[in-house]
Amino acid sequence: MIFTSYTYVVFLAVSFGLYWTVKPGWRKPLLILASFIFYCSWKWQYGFLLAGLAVFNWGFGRWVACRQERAHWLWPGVIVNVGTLVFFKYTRFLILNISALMLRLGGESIQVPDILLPLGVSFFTFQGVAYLVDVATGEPPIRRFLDFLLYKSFWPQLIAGPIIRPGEIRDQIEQKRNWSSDNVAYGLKRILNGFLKKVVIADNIAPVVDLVFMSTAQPGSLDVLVGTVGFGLQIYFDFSAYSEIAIGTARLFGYVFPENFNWPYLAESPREFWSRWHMTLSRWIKDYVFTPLAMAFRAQRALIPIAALFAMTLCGLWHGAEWTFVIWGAWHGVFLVLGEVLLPRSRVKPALSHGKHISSFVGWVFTMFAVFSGWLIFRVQSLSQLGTFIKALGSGSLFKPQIVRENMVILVLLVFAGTALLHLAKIANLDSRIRLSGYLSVIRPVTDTFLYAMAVSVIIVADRGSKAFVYFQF
Amino acid sequence: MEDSVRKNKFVPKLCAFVVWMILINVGVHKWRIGLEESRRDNLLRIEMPNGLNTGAPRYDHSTGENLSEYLQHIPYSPDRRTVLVCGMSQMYAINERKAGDKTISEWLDDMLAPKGTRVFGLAAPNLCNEEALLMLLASVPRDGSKPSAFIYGLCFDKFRNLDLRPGLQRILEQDPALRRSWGAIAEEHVGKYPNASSKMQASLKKVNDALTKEDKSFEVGLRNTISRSLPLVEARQPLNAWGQLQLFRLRNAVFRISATSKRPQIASRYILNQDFLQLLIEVAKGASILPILYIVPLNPQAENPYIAKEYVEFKSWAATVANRMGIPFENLENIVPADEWGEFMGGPDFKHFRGEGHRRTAEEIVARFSRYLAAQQEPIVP
Amino acid sequence: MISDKLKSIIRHEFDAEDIELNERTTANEVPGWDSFSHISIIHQVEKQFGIRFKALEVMGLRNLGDLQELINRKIG
Repeated sequence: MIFTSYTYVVFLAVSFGLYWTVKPGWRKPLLILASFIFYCSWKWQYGFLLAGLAVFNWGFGRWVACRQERAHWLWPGVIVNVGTLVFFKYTRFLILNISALMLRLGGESIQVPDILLPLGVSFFTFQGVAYLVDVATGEPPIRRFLDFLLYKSFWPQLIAGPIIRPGEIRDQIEQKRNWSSDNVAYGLKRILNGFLKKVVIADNIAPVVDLVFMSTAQPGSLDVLVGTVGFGLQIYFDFSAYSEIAIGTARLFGYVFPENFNWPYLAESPREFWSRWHMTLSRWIKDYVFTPLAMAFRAQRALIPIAALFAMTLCGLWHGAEWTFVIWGAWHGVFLVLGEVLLPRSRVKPALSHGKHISSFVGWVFTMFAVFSGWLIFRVQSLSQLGTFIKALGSGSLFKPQIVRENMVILVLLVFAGTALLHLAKIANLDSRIRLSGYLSVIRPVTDTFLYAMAVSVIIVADRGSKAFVYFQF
Repeated sequence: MEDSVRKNKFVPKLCAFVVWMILINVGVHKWRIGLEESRRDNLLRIEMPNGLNTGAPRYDHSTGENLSEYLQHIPYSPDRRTVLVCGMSQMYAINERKAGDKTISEWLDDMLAPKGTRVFGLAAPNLCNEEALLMLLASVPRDGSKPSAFIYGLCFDKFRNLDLRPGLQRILEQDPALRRSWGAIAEEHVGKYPNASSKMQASLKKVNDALTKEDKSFEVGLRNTISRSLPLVEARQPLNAWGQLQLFRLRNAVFRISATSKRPQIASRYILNQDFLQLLIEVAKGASILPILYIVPLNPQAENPYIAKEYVEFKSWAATVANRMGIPFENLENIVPADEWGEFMGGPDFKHFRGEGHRRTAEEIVARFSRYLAAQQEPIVP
Repeated sequence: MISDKLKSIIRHEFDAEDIELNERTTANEVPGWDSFSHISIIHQVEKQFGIRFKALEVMGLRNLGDLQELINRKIG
């Protein structure tokens, strides 16, 4: 079931109600049962894959924790997880390309198998690798199978992250969760925020973006611009919404999840961007791909950028079995390295330096250029469409749309302006300043709840029927 | 201690939230009732001049929302000719309606019935050419009867529109034979009209997707159940439409857009509509249905949102196409005098006239196309 | 207890004499300590202490205290 649906709200309400009323001993089994119901609502066969991988990772984790020479024994575990991902996600891509190559060389094409991609496989296989590596490098394993099964299958993080490492959740799972109305209030607020971002903003930009990228017509420069900026906004609101709902949901049950987004469009360097966008994935790439690779190159400083480029290209490939994703990853890799060389390293903590120096502004422009042109590469349907769109940027008037209607341009502009305002307010720390003003505090409870009620109403009215999250296809 | 203090704040906040939601729902419920009442008032005003039900409908009263219900009223008969008249809102909208006013198709039916020809109107607001093609196909029943002519009023600003509206999509969803012929036509013309062909296939795909979507059923059922108890959920669509209308008004205010602000054509949409028109002509001719085109009348006193150069090119293009494909074509742009039009948004309406305008347009159509419509019909030009 | 030698390596890498460094300091808390500088620091530590790390050992470091412990183990 999609997070932003009536079905999920009912599912969540029922799970929440049962969880806090049954005996504490039943809580974890209840969450696991609910998680499997959630996961199997797509295709019940997937449940076996998830359960199987859980059994394997739990067992292997316990075993490798006891070994002295952990490094050697780690590889089979990693290969099983990565191999699962490669099998389901990349077999078709590999065979298609090998087949094309063979045809080029005069051979015969190979039959491309039809393998269904299990939902969330990119995430829970990566979580498996993170678990095994962390356990092999000193983290205590999760001993009880029930606890591990919860860690693996807990539905808020199952389909699209955050990718949680054992160290940040083991204590929470092993210790009793206590009722806290604070947690409930916080969780509900995060969920509400997520719904607003997805239903009201992302889902309403989606048709414009889809129109530009799925149209068979020749786009003009304005269409490409609107489509690209629109997509950059859509994917931000869509994916950060998912993470907010995930974090909020977990909080309702007493679990604290790591954050996944931290105002990424405020980043002043590509490196900083990746420390703010899909944070749990970029730390996975950094810790499990870049670091070991760079360690191998550490004597030759010139090769370290190669490690970064490779890591980012892999990150791109993870997003999808298409060459456009590979190029997107490499694009970010190049800008990451360029940014390290060209942009000054921030002396002060990033949050305080925003907007204060011209160099930070230049860095921000550089980063936004890299990121948004990256989104164009990310969203196109094929390499040939990429070529068409890049050529289109140079043609046609910037004021005459060839595909989109004027209203669509205005909509994207509106969302862009609103987002910009929101970010400026963040830089100026407006929310904390408002909180401090005393005279509002009396009527605040009344206005607060009214705003929440209005927010829920707007969500209900703006609903165009539950659309899947963009990141579900990864 | 702290948690209990916070708990004390949480429960009253929750109650306040619930109270607000109840108030909002009550407000929406009242708004809905008000909306229904005003709608009923409007209907009454329209029904009264015509008096009692004057028999079978002579045009699609649902304006494209429920066409399938009205198709059965097309008066096909072996011993007379049937003509279809298709177009946009000008076909059925009557400004300042009074007793005795009729729409173009009803006037045409009155004028031609004594000559052995019956007329039925198909029109929808902002009709695009893809929809016109679908309407044509949907109106040809499978029992062998078919219209002898398909009169289509061309309106330039509709060449900015795209896509089949949900009501017409539903017709495709409900009729597998129609889907098959739609797909067949798309395939047949992929070489000559590639844009139109791929658009038709995209529309077909959308319809097929809608048909095969089962996983939504629980969600849809749940939503319907909830909407039965919560007015807010039930009134989603009208509220959404109201919200969009306010945004629309805001847009007009901010960008100083009025009904007469110039709207340029959008290249890809224009080309697509051009293709669809030619495709429609070919399909009609192939089925021995005579397509008859005319440029719709415009208010000579009102400013229109057309860029003059584009409009001139459009008219000459239409004339060229009609000539090349050997079908009747007339430019009726100036036939309705200024005093037979109505008002819109505080100024003269550039494309909807009063009852007199309908009558005059029908008279002009009969006068100029009589040899194709009356009993002694000339053979269809191949 | 973080050795002065380690502190000076880090301070030199970031060209900042005044950073507070103790056992619980993590990379996030030091401005500019990203994956690139991390590798650079590790390499400097190896050179100056005359030791060699394995990739897995480095991947298991959670804070400065872990790094100091690892160094101590390698020397002693």
